[in-house]
Amino acid sequence: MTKLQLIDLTKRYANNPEPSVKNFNLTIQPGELVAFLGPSGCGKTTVLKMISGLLTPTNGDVLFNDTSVVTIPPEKREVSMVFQKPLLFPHMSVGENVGFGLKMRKQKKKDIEKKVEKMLKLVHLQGYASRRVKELSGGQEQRISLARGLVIEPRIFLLDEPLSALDASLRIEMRELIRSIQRHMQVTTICVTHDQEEAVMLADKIALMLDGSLQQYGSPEIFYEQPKTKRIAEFFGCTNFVKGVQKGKTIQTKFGTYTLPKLTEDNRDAYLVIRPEAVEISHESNALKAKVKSRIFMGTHVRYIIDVFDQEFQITLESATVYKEGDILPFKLIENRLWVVPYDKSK
Amino acid sequence: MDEKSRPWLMLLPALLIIVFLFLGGLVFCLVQSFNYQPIIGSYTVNLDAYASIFTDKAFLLSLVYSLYIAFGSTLLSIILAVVTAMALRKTFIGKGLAVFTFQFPIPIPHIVSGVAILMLFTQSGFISRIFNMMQLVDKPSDFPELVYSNNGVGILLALIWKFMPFIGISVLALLQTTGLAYEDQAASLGANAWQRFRYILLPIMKPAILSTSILTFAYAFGAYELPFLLGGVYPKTLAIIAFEKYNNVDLSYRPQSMAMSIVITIIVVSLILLYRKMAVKNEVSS
Amino acid sequence: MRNQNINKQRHLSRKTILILLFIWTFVPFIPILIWSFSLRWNYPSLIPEFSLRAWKYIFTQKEIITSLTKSILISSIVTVLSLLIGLPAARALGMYHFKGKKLVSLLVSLPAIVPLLAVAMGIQVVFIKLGLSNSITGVILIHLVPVMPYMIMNLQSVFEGYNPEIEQQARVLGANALITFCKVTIPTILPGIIVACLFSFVVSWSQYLLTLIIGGATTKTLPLLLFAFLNSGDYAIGGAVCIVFVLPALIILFGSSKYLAGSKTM
Repeated sequence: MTKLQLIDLTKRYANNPEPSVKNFNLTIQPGELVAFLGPSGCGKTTVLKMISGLLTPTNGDVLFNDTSVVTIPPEKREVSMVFQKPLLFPHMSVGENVGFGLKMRKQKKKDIEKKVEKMLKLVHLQGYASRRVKELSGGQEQRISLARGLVIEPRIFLLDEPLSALDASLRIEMRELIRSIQRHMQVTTICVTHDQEEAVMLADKIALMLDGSLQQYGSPEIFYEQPKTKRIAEFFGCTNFVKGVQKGKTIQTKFGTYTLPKLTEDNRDAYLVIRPEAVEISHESNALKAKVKSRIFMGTHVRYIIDVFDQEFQITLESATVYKEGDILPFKLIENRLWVVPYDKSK
Repeated sequence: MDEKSRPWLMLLPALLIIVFLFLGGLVFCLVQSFNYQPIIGSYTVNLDAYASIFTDKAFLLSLVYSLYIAFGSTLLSIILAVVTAMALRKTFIGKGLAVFTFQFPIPIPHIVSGVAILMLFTQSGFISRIFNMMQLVDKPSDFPELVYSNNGVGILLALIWKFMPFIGISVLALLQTTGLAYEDQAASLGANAWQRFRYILLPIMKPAILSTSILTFAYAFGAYELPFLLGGVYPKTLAIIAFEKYNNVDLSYRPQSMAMSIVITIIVVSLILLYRKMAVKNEVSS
Repeated sequence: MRNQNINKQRHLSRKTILILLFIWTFVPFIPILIWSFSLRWNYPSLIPEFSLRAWKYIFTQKEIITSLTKSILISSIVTVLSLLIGLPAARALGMYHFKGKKLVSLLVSLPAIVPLLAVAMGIQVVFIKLGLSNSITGVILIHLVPVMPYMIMNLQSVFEGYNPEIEQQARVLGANALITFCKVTIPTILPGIIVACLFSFVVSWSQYLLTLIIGGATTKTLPLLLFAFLNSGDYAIGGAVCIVFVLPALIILFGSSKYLAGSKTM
């Protein structure tokens, strides 16, 4: 089990003044499954390739168990990588593919066969060793790719958007598989994805990247309950922000004044972050009043677009609520579900 | 015009040319090789021409020599093509110019390559003069006989100049696309540079190498222009002795020249059919 | 440090290969050029006695101009004929599936691969009978044999990548067959056609043996003229003729380099 440390990792390409990855700092504990989440082009794959050694950082260091590995070439680093396309070697059988890494390490043929069969069993494809790559479906190919990457018992296991090419039902199956194998083998794993739902379901911790830098790192809950910036909150599906003034741990807005004990003390202009779920119907006298602009039935809940103080908000309520377009909706905010992010003039 | 016959109608003019000129030419050559020459009043049909050429030491030597030229030029071209393509496959400053240089010889006629080798590598050629300036040779005869000699080196050089980029560009295309992705994958699994080359890149390159080298072999085997320009008095390639016999004032040598040409044709066609069989087998098993 | 050292090694060996490649590709043209500007160029000097004799000869002598004209005429006609015959054939092979297609494909490709010595020697008897021997027509016909398959194979890949649905789209929008052909089909495949024509032109342009056998000594195309000068030992005029001879190929290289950059290999 390997601890991974990325120190001030930066990557700059010759033809681009802006670095693709800027001062990336992260520590991942042994055996953790971390998701690198972010939109396309934000640098997640670049960081991954620097960890694996396929790219050399312009600045910064990569440490495995407190030892720098930056000068070690990829084939010696014992970091295996699964790419978006399975990239199974077409001229080899399934068994030869899975056993490839072991063969490069000059292990004995019998040992390789045993390990390969064991690994195939783990990915639910036992007996497939002699099949040709051509005969496999997309999902099977990706499972073989997983097996191939894991059978060599790497120190770090990297996955670059491994599920984006699969259809929805396969994706869920594969997520479960990746999770269970990772837990079983206890290998430090990083999975890159642009799908926030996937990151939340798969990972112990999420590292959110935007424009080449790490924005926030923590458990999935943190991104919903305590996003660091407005942008991060938006990335996780929140569009409701009310301008206000923060004093200490309290924020004053036209919606009211709220005190959040978990907030870091500060005095500044800020946004009150109201998640769609942080709203409930209230018939009390001090309830806020909103005009309903539209109602969308989502199956398990209902999404309303409402108008309050000339601002549009998106909220979700139980499907039993039946407010129609034009109705007045009385509500109040659930205080322990609110959060505050700094006000940024440039946005 | 119904759908089934449509493609055949579109192919008709081309097929006519091929049948009448190409196949027709071959048939007439075959017939004349059987000694059937109405021109001199010979209406017999026999295998005398074949018998005589296969017992002719000069012919057999030419056959071996032609095989030597074909194998030698193709093999060396493959090695150089692979080495160069491997060096060019990644992105680097000046790659555009490098690739342009690499594929430069492809549209240049073979004859030009021959003229260049002629002016460079004869004993009094440009290279010899450079060697003289560097005091490596005193007089022309000190310089090795590469052109007009029985080692055929001049011919090989001219052919390699043309063949290497032809094979190389095909290989480079594969390396740049499929090759690169698989290389990264193999490296992350622990394969070092040599292992990546041997287990991943070489198998990927194989089809491109095979298909292009069949073409170069066929061309080199039946070549006339370059061996004529650069070759020695003895041995001569098959095409040259066949043409010499054809031009002999004594028309009774015609059947032999025809027979020689037929032998060249049969060898090349067999090679092509063999290659196609191999290619199909590879596809089925992999 | 090891990783950086390996990278440095790789960069150095690549630089070496590139320099060697550059020299190997372009140095061969140096003596040809020098010879064309020389009066005498004796061993062991690296610089000749300079003279424009060869070039004056090229531009004034009738035999050169006749030869050049013949070559241009023959190769142009061969290219156009090959295009007209080859275009429908390539479309058939590139876009249709039919029984026997594999055999036809093989048959079409053979004349471009197999040495044509037997074909030329064999058909000569017939050409003599038909009065085609020693004539430009005969040479054009025999050039068609290697050039047409080459044209077809080049055009075939253009059609294989062609989606006929854009024609259907045009018809649905109101264009008739002729307009569709002229305004949709042709412009789409034009770059591929141009490349195929340029390369086919060079194949015909470079023919020596076939022209010699069928055309005899009377149809002296540029290659035949070139060989004659080289055999007689006049490397100066030979060099100049060679440079004229290589011009179309150079035009192709620089003219179609924008097409070559993205297209498939030959």
